[in-house]
Amino acid sequence: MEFEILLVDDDSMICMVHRLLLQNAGIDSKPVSKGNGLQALRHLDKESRNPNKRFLIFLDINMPVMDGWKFLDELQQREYKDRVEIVMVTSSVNMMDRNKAESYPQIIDYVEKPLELESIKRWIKDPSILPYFS
Amino acid sequence: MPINEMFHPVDREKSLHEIEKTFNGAPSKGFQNRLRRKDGSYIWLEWTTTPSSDESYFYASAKDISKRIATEEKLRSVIEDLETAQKIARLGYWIRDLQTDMNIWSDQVYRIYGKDPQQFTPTQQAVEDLFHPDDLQYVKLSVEKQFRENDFVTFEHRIITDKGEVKWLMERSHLIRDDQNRPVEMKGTVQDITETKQKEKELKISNERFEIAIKASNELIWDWDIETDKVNRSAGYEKFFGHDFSETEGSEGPWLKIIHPDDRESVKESLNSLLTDPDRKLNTHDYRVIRADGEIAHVTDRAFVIRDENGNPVRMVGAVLDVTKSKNLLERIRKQNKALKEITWMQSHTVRAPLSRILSIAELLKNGEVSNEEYEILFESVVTSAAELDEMVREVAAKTESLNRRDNGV
Repeated sequence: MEFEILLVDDDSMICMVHRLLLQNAGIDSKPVSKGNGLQALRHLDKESRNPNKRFLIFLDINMPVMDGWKFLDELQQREYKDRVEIVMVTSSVNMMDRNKAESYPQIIDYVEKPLELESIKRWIKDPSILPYFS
Repeated sequence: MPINEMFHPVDREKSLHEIEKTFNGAPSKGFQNRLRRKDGSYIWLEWTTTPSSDESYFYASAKDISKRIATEEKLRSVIEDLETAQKIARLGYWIRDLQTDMNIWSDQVYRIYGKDPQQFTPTQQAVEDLFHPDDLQYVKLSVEKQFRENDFVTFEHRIITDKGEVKWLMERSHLIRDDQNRPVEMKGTVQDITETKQKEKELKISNERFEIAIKASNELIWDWDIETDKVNRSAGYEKFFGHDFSETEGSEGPWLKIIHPDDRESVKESLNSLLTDPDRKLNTHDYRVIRADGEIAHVTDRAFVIRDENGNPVRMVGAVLDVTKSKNLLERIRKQNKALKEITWMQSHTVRAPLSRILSIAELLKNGEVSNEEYEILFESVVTSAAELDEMVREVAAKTESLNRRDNGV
């Protein structure tokens, strides 16, 4: 089994900071950064051809071209959707968004920026997440 | 059959008494009684009797006066009716001899003037003394003027009774002339119209109040007679929207023409639904009208329908209130809310982006290790994010400032 981490945010600085944070937390491989939902979807469509690959995605909501919600809707049409775990990372502080996010089966958590080490430590306890971190 | 059995039971005793008197030698004339006829009905008779020297008999002749009695009774009832009518109408009757200036009054005139017929002699001077001092000159002049053109005059005046009560009287006088065309007497009727006058006054006061209320309230009152399709409008209309509303055309009239074209159909429909639903009385409709200067005014039009006993609408009364001011105020509040929402959106989204960047970097540097090269990049990002934030805060301040200016009407 292979595990890949995907950072989806139109702010490249956020992607970089999140990558460094995850690396400090001890992830196994180098995360892949994508600037919007469409880029992320194309990457997954290609990489998911390997049936042994699973994905952990840190997904922003407000993005140009394809936002986080549209990406989630598109994902539900894909056969590899069960090989995906998603953490919603958002700058909006909105209860409606949180409720909406929880209605997607892939969402394991909903956090506000910035990502915190405490949150990462919590996720690692989940057996399906642990393999992403060595 | 003996005659005494033919007398009417009521008349029998006095008839027998009359017979006895005649036997005693007193002739009589004019005695009246009723006598039964063969068919059982009675006739009225008037008797003339002459006694004879011999007391055993007398002469008697009788005249049938049934018709006269019937006419008299009819006349009496007419007079009674007339008196009742005069009492109800408070109508008195008077005659004035122009030679002596003496009046003869009917009982009702005495009642109107509050005078006792036994104690008051209605000479013309005494009557005029009872006139309201403010009315006397006017009455004299007016009567003289009218008599120059016509022998019938009508006038109103006040009197002050002994109790100090002021009464309004309506007089109708007729001048009577002799065969040389010289005025000899006046006849007339007088009626107490105090109550009517009081009602007129009250009506006038309430009308004035209504007019003032209309002027003070911004409301335009309209009154549509559905049968004749005529509309009466309160005076305010003429100046209100700058249009001329002197016409009284009905539902399709000038008012409909100034209603905003986009609202015209809905106004018609709303009126129609009120007219055709017999269970409804009231309707309120908001629409726009175009003022003479081309500006748009917002109004609330409340209509009340009056129906006949079959539920058919006969009249509709309404009030149009100009709500332009409050509507404009509402519009301003709406715009302001929109601006405030923009500011809030900016704060929660745009401002959040550089802020969360800075916070993320702080979080990273707090716990983790980064290379020198990475540190340089992160530091640079903090600086640019802070600058970005600064610019946004300035923008919010500027927007708030402009909102304040708009609110103060600058």
